[in-house]
Amino acid sequence: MSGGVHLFVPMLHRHDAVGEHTRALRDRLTAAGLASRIYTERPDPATRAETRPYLDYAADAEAGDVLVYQFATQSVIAGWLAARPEPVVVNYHSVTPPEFFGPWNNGITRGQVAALQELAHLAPTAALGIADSAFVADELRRAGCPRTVVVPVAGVSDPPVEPSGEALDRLRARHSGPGPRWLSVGRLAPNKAHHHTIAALFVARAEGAPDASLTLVGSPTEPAYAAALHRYAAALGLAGAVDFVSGVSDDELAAQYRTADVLVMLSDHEGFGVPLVEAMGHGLPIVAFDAGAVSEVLGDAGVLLDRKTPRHVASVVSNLLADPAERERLTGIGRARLAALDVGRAGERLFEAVRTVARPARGPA
Amino acid sequence: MSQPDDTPGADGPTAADQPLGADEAELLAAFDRLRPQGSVRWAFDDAVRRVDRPDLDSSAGALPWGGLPDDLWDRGRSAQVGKRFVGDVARVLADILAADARAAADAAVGAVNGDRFVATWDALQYLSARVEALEARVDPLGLEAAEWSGPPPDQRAWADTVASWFDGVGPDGAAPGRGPDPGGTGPGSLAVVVGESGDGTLAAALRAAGRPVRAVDPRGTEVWRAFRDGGGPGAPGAGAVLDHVHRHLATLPDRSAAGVVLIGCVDRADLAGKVALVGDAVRVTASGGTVAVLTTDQRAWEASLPAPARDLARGRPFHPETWMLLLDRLGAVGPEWHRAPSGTVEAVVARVER
Repeated sequence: MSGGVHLFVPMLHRHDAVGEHTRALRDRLTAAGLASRIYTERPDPATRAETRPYLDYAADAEAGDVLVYQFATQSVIAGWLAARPEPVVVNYHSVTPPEFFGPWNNGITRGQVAALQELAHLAPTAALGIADSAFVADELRRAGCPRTVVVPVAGVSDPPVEPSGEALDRLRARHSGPGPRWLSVGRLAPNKAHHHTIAALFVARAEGAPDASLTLVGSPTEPAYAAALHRYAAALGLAGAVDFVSGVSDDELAAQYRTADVLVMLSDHEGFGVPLVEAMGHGLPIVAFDAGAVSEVLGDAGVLLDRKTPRHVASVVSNLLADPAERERLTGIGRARLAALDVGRAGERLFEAVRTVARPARGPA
Repeated sequence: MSQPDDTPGADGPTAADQPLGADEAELLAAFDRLRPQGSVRWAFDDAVRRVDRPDLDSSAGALPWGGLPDDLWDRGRSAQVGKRFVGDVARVLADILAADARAAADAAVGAVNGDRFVATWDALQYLSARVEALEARVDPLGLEAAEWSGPPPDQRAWADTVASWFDGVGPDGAAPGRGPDPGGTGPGSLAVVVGESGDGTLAAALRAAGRPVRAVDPRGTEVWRAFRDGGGPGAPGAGAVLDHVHRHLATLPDRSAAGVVLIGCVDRADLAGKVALVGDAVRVTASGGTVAVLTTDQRAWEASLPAPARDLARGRPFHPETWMLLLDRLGAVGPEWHRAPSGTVEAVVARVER
């Protein structure tokens, strides 16, 4: 294949699903001997050395280039790519519906509205759409993308990261109480519905598990929502029972999975659900609400909830924690499920998908 | 796997059949009330962003006028249809006017002087910064949680008395010494709002006297206790609200309660907060109803708090004489200081008459 495969993303973050996915694809492309650079609208200080401003691409363009856009949020890059002559691959990670943000942050809400408008503009012109899940592929098709394939998020470690003894000891010392420890992983954003998890924990503690605790691992994407979570936990008398953790390393995150008793995921919208596969990899039992791509990713490897009223969630979690045989059965299915999802080869599969768009060299654009 | 049947007994109702309980609904509603939508800050941000991104609010732009309907002549052929015709003409005119108004608005946005636009934008940003600076002065470290450090006031001393403050407020809406409320807005069948309800002692006493009660408390454990102690209409759980008292009172319509008992929240609030609490309590109380402020003895209150909570508290308890003054100024009638029969909580009780 001639030319390079260059990646565009609004910002490149570390420890972020889209960021790690983008870097995994870049690494696979360069390993295959292809030129692959990452262009962004705005630089992240932590990854500035890895990226270039997207407008610089015009001077870098070569015949035969393929451009891959990591689409999850609003960005001027979408409109700019739609006007480029090179074939564009839309690697779509789903736009969180604006209505989730409406009551919390009108700036983000408007951004999400704009992102959907950009998707409707760009998708019909895409040479290929790559979606994280069948759920997301459906969104992409409805936006007018003529050809789509499903490839899971790349950058998820399989086998999982092995936590260090130091990280494990630190967490075990921090959570030395007798009660079960629930874990929830995901940005502190309204669609993640962490408040439902806190409400369920409150009921669990009030009705049979007084020592249960919850660790919420996630960056405060929406500050008003994050602040409300803190206030909610305090009002419910859970300030000492809910641990908010952000900015963790891979080692620390692995230790969180390894030391918790159950992953509780009550998101209202998930395009894929990286924590599900991470929990499967670490052998952590899962209780998750059936939304978006969750059932598609989880399969039979956890308890899938069709509703998430606080008492019901508390009851399901308590029952699961009281049943070692069931936990063992589910984590066993989880290991098989992880192999079936083949997330370890996601980078390779992305590479193969993108290669189908490559075309013979032509004159300069 | 599918979710397990989490209820005992194969023949009993399964959890899947159980609707959202009133206690669970209140638990979730309490979080929804923390959403900033509709707040001054949210509305300001919304307005500023509409200045910044007017395109997103008028993405359709001016609607082109489609002209008169093709079947206009046919519509006017019969008298019966003539009525429709008149209606249609009015609709077309309305469409034209709406389109013109939208076009005018878009033109105004497009033609606005660039420098003035930027200046307006800058002014709004500076205004926002000044508001933020003022807010930061109120609680620069976000130490609001310090108010939780103190124990809630002991309600027991007033358990035998509280219902008597509502004596004479009959089921027909009659106030003491007055005839039935001709407007039907009397407090007879209305609830007494108790905020903060704390351990539920006062709410239970009022219920025992036959009064409907709405128990408001910002602490989840207290509200959950109210639900746990019973369910169904008139039971402790009915009407329990997980929210701050000042915020809940602000949501209640005028004259919608038989009265309000304020306790705990009135000690912590600063002057503006105290005035707002009592002002709203008077506003929501129907004619003939009662507003009672239960205030903690200042020295006892200070002694009960750890030093940081005492130092960081926005307000401190007022003397009963001060409450009498405030109640009077805020429209309540005949405030009286009721000496505490025991303990450290004093009561100031006033009527609302309109």
